[in-house]
Amino acid sequence: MRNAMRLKVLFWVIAFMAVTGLAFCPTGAWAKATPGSLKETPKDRSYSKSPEYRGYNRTGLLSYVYDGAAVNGTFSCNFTTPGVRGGASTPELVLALGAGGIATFNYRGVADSNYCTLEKAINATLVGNETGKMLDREDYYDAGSEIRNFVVTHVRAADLNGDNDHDEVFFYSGKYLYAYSLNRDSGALDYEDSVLICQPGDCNPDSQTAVFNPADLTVFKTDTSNTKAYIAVIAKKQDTTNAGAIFTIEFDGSTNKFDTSSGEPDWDYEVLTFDPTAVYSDSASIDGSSKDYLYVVGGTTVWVGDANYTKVGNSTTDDAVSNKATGSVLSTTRDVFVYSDSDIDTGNTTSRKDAENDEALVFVATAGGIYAFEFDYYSSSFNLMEYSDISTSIVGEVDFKSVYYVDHAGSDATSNGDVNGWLAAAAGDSGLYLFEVDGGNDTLSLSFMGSLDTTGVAENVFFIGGNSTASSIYNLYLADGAGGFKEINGTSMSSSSNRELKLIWQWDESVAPAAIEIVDDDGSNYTTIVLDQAGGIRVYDVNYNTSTNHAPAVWRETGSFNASSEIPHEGKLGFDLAWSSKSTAYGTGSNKAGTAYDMDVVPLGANSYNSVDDHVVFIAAGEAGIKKMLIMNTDASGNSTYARRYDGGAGYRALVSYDTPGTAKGISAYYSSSDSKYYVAVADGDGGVILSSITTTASEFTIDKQFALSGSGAVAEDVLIDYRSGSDAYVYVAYGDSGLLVLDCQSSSSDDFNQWSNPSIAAQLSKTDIGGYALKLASSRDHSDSAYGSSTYYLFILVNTGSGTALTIVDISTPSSPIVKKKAFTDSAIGTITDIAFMYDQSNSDKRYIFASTAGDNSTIRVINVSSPTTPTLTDKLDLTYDSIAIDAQYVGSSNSFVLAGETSTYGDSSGGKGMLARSFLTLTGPQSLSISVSASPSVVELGGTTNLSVSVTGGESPYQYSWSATPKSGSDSGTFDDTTSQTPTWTSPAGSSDKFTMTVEVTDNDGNTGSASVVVNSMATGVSVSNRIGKAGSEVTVPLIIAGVSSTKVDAFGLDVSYDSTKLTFLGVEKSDGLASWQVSGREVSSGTARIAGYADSEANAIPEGELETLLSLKFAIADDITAGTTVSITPVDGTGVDDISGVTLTAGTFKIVCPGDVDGSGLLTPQDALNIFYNTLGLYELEDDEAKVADLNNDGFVTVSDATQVMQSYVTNGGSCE
Amino acid sequence: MIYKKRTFASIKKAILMLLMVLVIAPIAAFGARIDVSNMAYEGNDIVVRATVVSDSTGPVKAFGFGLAYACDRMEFLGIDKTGLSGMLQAENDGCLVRVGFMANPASKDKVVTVPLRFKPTGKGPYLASVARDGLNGVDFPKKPGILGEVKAPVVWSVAGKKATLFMAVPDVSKIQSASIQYNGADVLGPIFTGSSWHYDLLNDLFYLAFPDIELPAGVYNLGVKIAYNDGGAEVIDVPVTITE
Repeated sequence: MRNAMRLKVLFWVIAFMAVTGLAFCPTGAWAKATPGSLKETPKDRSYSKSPEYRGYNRTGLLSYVYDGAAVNGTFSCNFTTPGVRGGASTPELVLALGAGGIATFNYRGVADSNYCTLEKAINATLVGNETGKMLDREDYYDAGSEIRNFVVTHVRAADLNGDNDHDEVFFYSGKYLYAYSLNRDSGALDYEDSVLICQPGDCNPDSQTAVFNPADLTVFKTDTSNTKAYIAVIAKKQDTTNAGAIFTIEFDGSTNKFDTSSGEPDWDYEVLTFDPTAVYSDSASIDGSSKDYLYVVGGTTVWVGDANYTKVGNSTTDDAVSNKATGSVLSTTRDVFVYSDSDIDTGNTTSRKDAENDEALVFVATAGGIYAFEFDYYSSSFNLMEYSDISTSIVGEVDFKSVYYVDHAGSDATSNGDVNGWLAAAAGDSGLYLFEVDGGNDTLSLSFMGSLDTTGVAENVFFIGGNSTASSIYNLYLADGAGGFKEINGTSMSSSSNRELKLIWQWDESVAPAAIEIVDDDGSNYTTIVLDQAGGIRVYDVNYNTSTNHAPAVWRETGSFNASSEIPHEGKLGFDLAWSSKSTAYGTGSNKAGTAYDMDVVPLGANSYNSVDDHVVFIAAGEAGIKKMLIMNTDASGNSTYARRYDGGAGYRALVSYDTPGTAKGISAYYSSSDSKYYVAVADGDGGVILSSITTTASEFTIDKQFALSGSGAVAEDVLIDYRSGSDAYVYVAYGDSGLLVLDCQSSSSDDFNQWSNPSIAAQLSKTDIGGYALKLASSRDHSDSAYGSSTYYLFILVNTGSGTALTIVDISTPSSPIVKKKAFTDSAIGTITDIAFMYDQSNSDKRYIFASTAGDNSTIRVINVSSPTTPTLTDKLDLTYDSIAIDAQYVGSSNSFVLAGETSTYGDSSGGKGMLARSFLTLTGPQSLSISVSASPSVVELGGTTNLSVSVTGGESPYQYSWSATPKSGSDSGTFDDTTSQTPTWTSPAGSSDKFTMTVEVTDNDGNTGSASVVVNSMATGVSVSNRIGKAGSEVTVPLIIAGVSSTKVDAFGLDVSYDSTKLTFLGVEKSDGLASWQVSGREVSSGTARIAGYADSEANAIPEGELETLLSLKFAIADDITAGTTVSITPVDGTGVDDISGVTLTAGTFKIVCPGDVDGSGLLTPQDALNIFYNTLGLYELEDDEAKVADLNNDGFVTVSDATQVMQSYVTNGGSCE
Repeated sequence: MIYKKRTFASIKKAILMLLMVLVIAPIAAFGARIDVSNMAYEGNDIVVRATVVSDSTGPVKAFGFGLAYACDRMEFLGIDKTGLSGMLQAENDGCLVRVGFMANPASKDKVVTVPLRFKPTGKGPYLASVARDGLNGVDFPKKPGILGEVKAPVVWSVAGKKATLFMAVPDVSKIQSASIQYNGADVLGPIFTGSSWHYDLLNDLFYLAFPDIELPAGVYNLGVKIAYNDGGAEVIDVPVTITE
């Protein structure tokens, strides 16, 4: 029969391969991606638009901002000379960074478009280093070397020559007071002098009996005509309770030295009977003559005295400062601020009111609220009138760390005096509070304007611009601890509905990117949105021209203003998540910054990603829940050239928040064009999964579905929306110990997410399935929809295996049936993976990569070639400066595709750390082909025997990885390898029954190129065996008799008996095999159920070689008509009957199974699989053995046809495939 | 037949234990899959989109399965034209639709969707579940197709002498105890053991299908009792009549 002939041809092909034991298989392959050309922002400031400051590359910068100093002045920009600062009164800024020393800044105008923003003008000289130790004087100063080892928590600056510039910076560290000159153009600080803080006569540091720990300082007087400054330092007496002092000293700008007497600092000394905390100085004419007053707080005491600078340094050491009034509060004092003016009290209607002279409002920040006093002179004495706690009744008990007041000269709402201003208070972790003060004439009232949860720890409001008005606040300077320095402006402050506080500028070294999204291409730059760990959004331009090779450059918001009349501070550098802006009238509501975890960016409305566009940014902000904000491509006037805004403008909500019940860790969004709204999925930690939605202009999220799986390890870590055009929409959830959850959220053909509020679980892969705790997700649909061809998609899951991180690859072509292609791929060289990003080389269809950011000892960008999802390969890497915690990648072209990685330094403690955005260009090299040869020796093994396999590879790049597999022809047992990854494994065949095995090795080189090759190994009983066959009742069948592995001799003759059940089989004779065509064979029934067979070669040359496999002959039987399907008959060579050359060899019986017609796989039922086998056989795509072909011939027409296949199928659907 | 008494509380524990097992290793990562949970109205008809996904080795070549459905309220109309490359056949057998598919060699479909069209003949909910597997190793998630609100926990569907029992129990996590009484014995345990079941995690719904119960003619009355933690209870007598 035709099929039998095909079988024989196939047999000979296989036999040839088995004899040679060799196969050759060159394969296609793909290229590798090599990251290089590393640029890191802010370390690299080469790009002209980037902020720059000097000294950054000093190691170990700490940047916890405790305090600052600024000079009030009128801001102006110099548009003609970039890099040159503005007018003479442009303020400098000095920040106290604790163990990080001091940073200085000044402002420069920039001739770039029509804006002038602060962030363009940074000069910094950083003093100090990483040790944070407080050392003695001798330790810090080594002439000619750098100054180091300061701990600076308070800093003041002074203008000694009257040019409105800071000339001198004063601070204390340890027991010393220091003076540094400040270069206003370069920002450089140069050491000038230092003095021990000591009681006069007790100033030998080696034998000092009364040691004082300074707590604050102030420059209470500058004598510009003599270039002198007078500094007051308050200090607590060490190891003594309720004992402190005010130290005053003169600094001479002509000699750049503190005043000394007999070689010792010439301090004046005023004893305090409490532990002082803060000091503020103010010049006022309280009693009719101008004096410099010192306001000191400590414990629960408020102390006021005047300081006579003319007596500082004279022969009497305790006459410079004298107490004038004392008050007390009910809580521990933190800070003090004073505002004095003659208009605080107007008229003389009572004895306490003094219209002619100044009065001073004293604001005291305490652990229990803000207290206020009025310091005045009447009835021939100084008085400190108490307003008591003015904040607690409004905002509750708040621990305020500092307070600052600026009069805005607004309308007098009460007509009682002229106190109208802004009172700002820093409240540590509780952020910034803003009040409006109204009062005068012995009255004082406070209105709460709002509180903002800053991203850091609000330590100190140290400046508010004096040009602030009733509707605008300018230059509110906040030392925000680990959140850096922030400048905040307020607009529309008189409007309860439009009041807004803007983050104008932020200097924060801890801006490590927590999430990165590459979005738009403007032709030379990719717009990249970065979620900072500090809780802010920044946008960078990433130039992808390799010849330019810039570091990522940060965007500024473009402001629209009149340079001649307006404050040029409209440009935001970023957006702080805590800023609730106009969404809530008072800045209250859900204004927590939270912790930056994740971000998803989608174009605004139905826009695309293909050009610079407006974007909606969704943020998972940890304990603060989720947030939505807008980044627009136009300025406030609608101009688009160089215009960017970190809010939506008219008609949009700048920021919308929702405080989720759990910890929002992952977020994914999709814009539905049919519904005109965003569907937002949230991984809310142990709060589970939230499916929400929001329109472009809505003021709040709609929560459509929330659920949580039970179990301590069931933590929703990440989430990904997968919309399938015209069909379903799915949400994947990386659900910690609960593995991967797939939610089906749509059953309609439009993108209406009609099951968003009632999703179903389409599938779930357990932790075991995916190889670990599910952490993060990336998709092959990121940036491209056809990375693996049409309708083939993969999900990449970052998992924690318990011993480290790993990558699991899942086929999500059908999301309801995810298939794990590679479980927990890892390599000891990778380190800890923190984030993953997918990139597809669109010019080469078989190049696909996962880029992994890693942390720990191996901080790198790692490249994992995932071109073959079943065999991911770790290839190249690029070392980074700091731990990499976030990553994204973008294909641009083979010469300038790039990777962005976010870096953070975990150096120091919670007050330290710094971040970078690193960009690396990718070198994509050409594909490599592998030539693979594989062999097996021997190629025929006995049952349970072994063979030695070997593979050799040329091409590609070593080392190579090997993966061996064995596929049995008919059985299910595939034997065992001693090592499936070895180049030369040993394979052991199953002991059960004979079979033919295709041994395949897949080879993967170091670049991810793969290929495979195969060799066939036959496993059969050594000696003579009867083949297993099937047949249908009433038909004839041939049963091959095989000899194999007889190594003792050539076989040129044989003879033996076989027995069988004569009630079921009738012996008809024998047939020659094709391999022994020249042999003579014969057979006859010698008794019922026993046939004797024999054969011999016509010549020695045609004998069967030692050990070879050969079919001796085939036995022909007729099958009885009445045998039921499923019956098995044994055909047994009779032991001891072997003669001639096969005498003594092992004889193995075979089985003959009666099956129902059409059941070619012998399963007992007619199934679609049987129909398929028959159908494919007719097409020449599948080879039925001759016995199978006879079974397949249902209609007994002598041919296997499509009709037979159809008949099988009909049997299945009509009666379930039963043979009955 | 004497069944070992088994309370629903213990069944519930068994369900939870099995769920835990599912969480650990619920679905084989490899192998063909079949899913019939996509059930929706199309005009006045109901269409169950049975989806079969191949394993990792290539396209779907052949499959067969039996779909049990609530034949007392749905009538099988046939299979919609699919455009599939291959031979697709279906035959109705009582409350079971048997579907067979054999792909043409040129087919590269890794996913084959078979739209089975039904006509509603009674009040919903409408239910369908894979009950027979014609391909060795096919994994089917046992998730049923459900259309309409599930109120009654037990539904009998009878065709000839064959009955199919569907159960759809809401608020499983709130169940205190439950039993199915027949001739004084709780038969829930054996029914549970002999059926394919599914627990809908998100909707707290337990689903069970027990197809092709061959019964002699007669009237069989099942008493379903479900008590909830909040004091609520469902007590339903569900008779099924098998006629000659």
